[in-house]
Amino acid sequence: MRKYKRKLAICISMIVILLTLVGLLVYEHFFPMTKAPVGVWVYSEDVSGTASSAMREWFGNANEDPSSGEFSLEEPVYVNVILRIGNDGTYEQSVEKGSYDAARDALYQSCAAELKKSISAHLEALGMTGDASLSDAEAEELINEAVSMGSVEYLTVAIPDIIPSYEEYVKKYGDKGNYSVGDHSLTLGSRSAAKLIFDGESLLLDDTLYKKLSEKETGNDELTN
Amino acid sequence: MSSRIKKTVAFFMSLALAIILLYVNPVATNAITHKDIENLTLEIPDGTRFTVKTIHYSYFNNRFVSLRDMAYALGGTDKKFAVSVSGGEIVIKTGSKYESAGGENTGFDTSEYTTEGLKINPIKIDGRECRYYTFLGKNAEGINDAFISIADLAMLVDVDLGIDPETGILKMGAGDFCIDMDAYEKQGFYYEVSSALVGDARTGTVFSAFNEDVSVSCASTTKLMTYLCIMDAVSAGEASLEDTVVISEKAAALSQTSDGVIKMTAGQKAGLGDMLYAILLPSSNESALAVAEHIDGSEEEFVKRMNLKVKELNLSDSTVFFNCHGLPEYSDTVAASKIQNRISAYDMFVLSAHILNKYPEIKEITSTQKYKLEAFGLEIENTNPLLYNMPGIVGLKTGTTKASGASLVSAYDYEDEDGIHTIVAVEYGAEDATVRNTVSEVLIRYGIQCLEKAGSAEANEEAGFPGTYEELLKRIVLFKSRSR
Repeated sequence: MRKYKRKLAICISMIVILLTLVGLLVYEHFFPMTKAPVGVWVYSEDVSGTASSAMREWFGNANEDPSSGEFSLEEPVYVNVILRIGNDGTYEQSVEKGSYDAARDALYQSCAAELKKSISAHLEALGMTGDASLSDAEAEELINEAVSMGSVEYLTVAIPDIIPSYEEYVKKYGDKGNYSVGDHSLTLGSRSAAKLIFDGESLLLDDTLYKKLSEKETGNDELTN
Repeated sequence: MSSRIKKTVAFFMSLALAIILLYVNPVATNAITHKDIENLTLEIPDGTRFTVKTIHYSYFNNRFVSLRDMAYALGGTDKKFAVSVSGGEIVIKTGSKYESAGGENTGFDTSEYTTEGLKINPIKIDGRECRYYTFLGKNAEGINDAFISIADLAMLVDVDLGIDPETGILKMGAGDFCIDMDAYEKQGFYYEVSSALVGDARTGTVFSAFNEDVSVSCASTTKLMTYLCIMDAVSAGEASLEDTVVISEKAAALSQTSDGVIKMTAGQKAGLGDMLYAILLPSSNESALAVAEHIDGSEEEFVKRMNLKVKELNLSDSTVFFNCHGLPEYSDTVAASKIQNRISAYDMFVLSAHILNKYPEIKEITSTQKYKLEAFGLEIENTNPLLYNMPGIVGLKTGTTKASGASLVSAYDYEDEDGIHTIVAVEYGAEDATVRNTVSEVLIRYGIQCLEKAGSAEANEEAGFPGTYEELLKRIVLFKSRSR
C-alpha cells in the first residue's frame, strides 16, 4: 500500500509539473516574456557621404569614382534620430533639429574649407600666388570680392541641397503611435522590425543601431516633428 | 606721203579709242553701278521729312546713305554737322551748320547710280582721322558726295536713327545713338557673324552674347594667347623683354611667303620688346614664330605651353592651339584637312580679360597706331580699325582667314567713379571687314551703354550669381589677375 501511494504521488507530481510547464508555454505563446525596449534611443545618421556626393557633383566630377577621394569629408557628420519607447505601449520618433542644424553648418564649413583649398591650388597653378600658396583668409577675401558674400554663405546659395532638408528628414523618420513586442521583434506603428536585440546600451532594429540616451541628453523641447 | 597718212590715221584712231573708253568708263576702273537705289524718307523729331539718296549695296536693306543729304536734313537739329567731300577725302565737323552745295533733299533722277568701289576713304571728323567704308560718287549737280552705312553714320555723329518697320521711314530719335540689343537680336543683328560677345573684363560681366560657347577658327587672334605665354615666361624669369631674338631659317622662310608680313632674313636680330609690337600691330606671323622659338626652343614646345595655359585658365574644350600665329595648316594625313587654332567667344573673353588684368601694359602696345621697328627699318601700322574710329579704344587684335572670316577682339577703357572698366568685344566670322567693323563698334558702344546705365555694383548683380564652381573660378581668376 505504501508503495502504491508513493508511486501515485510521484505520478501526480509529474503531471502537475508537466501541466505547469505546458501552461507556461501556452502563456509564453500568447503573452511573450520579451521585454519592450523602453527608454530613449538615438540613431546617428552619418550624412557626410551625402554631402560629399553633392560637393563632387558641384565641383563637376560626379562621374569619377566616389571612392577616389578627390573630394570627401574626413570627419563624419551626424543627424540624430530620437526614438522614445514608453512603457504604456506608445512610441515617438523624431529628428533632433539641433543636430540637423549643427550638421548642416559643419558640412558647409568643411565644404568652404575645401573650396578655398581648391581655389588656392588653381591660382597657384596659374602662377598668380607667387611662391606661397593663398592663405585661407586671402581665399576668403577673394570669394567675398567676387560674389559679395563669404564662402559659407556662397555655398548655401550655390548648393542649397548639400543634404536633404530638415522637412525631408522628418518625413522620412518622424513617426508616433503604438508599438507591440513579439518574439524578438518590435512593431512600431506600421513598421515592423523582424530583428530586435537590445540591452541596456544598444537597440538593434533590423540593421539600424540605436544607442541609449537619457532624457537629460536630448532635451525634450528639441523633439519636434 | 603714205607714212604721214598712216601716222595721222593712227593718231585719230587712238583719239577715238580714248574717247570711247572715257565715255564707257567715265570714273575709275573700280566703279560700281548700283541698281538697287532708293529715295529714303528721313523724319526728324519735329516731324519734318527729307529725301535721302540711298544705295542698297550688294543686298537689299544694306543701306548706305548720302552724307550730304543727311547733313542737310539734320541741319536744323542738335545733331547737325557740316561735311565736305573733296579729292577723295571726307571732312565732317559736328555741331557746325551744313552749307548746301546743291542737289540735297532730292531723289535719284535715274534708275542707276555709279560710284567708286566700296573702300576706306580718309574721313576726318572734328580733326580726328578715322576709317569707315564709304562710296564716293557725284550727285545730279555734279557735286562730290559720299555714301556711308546708316549704322556707321549714327555712331560717327552720335545720333539715334532707326528704320520704322511698318512704314520703312528712317526716323531720327531725340537722344544720342543708343542700342536696343533685344530689338537688334530679334532683327537678326548677330546673323552676320559666327559668334560674338561683349562684356566687362574687370568684373567678368557679360552684356550680350551669341553662340559664345561655339568653337570657331580664331586666326590671328591666336596672338593674344601667344602674348600671354610670352609675358608669363618673362614674369617667370625664363626670358626678358631686353632679350635679343635671332630670326631662324623657319621664321625667315615664313616671312617670304604670301603669309609673311615683315620680310626677314635668317640671323637678323630684334629686341623681344619690339617683337611684341610686330606680333600685335601688323600681326606678323614670322615674329610670333621667332619669339616662340626664342622662348621654348621650338614652336612645338611653345604650342604645348599654349595648350597648358588653356587648362590653367580653365577654358573649355572649345579651345585648342596648333601653332603660335593662327595660320591654317594641313593635317599630315592622306585625306589632308585644313586645321586651325580654335576658340569660343567666351573663352576669348576670359583670355582677354585675364591678359588685361594681369598685363595691362598690353594696352600701351595695342593702342599704338604706328610704330617704328628699327631692327627692320620700317614703320608698322595697327590693323585694328576701331582704333581709328573710336577714341578710347585700347586694343586688341584682328584676325582674318577664310574659315574665321573677318574677326576682331576689341577693348575700350570706360572710366567711372569705381575706376576703369575695360569693355571687351569679341567678334568672329563676319563676311567682310565692313561687317566686322560695324558689329564690333556696335558691341563696344552697347557695353558703354550698359555701364552708363548701371553702376558697377549693380552691374555685378545683373551679371548673375556664379552658381557653378566653373563660373566662380572664372570670376575669381579675373579678380585675382588684377594684382600681379
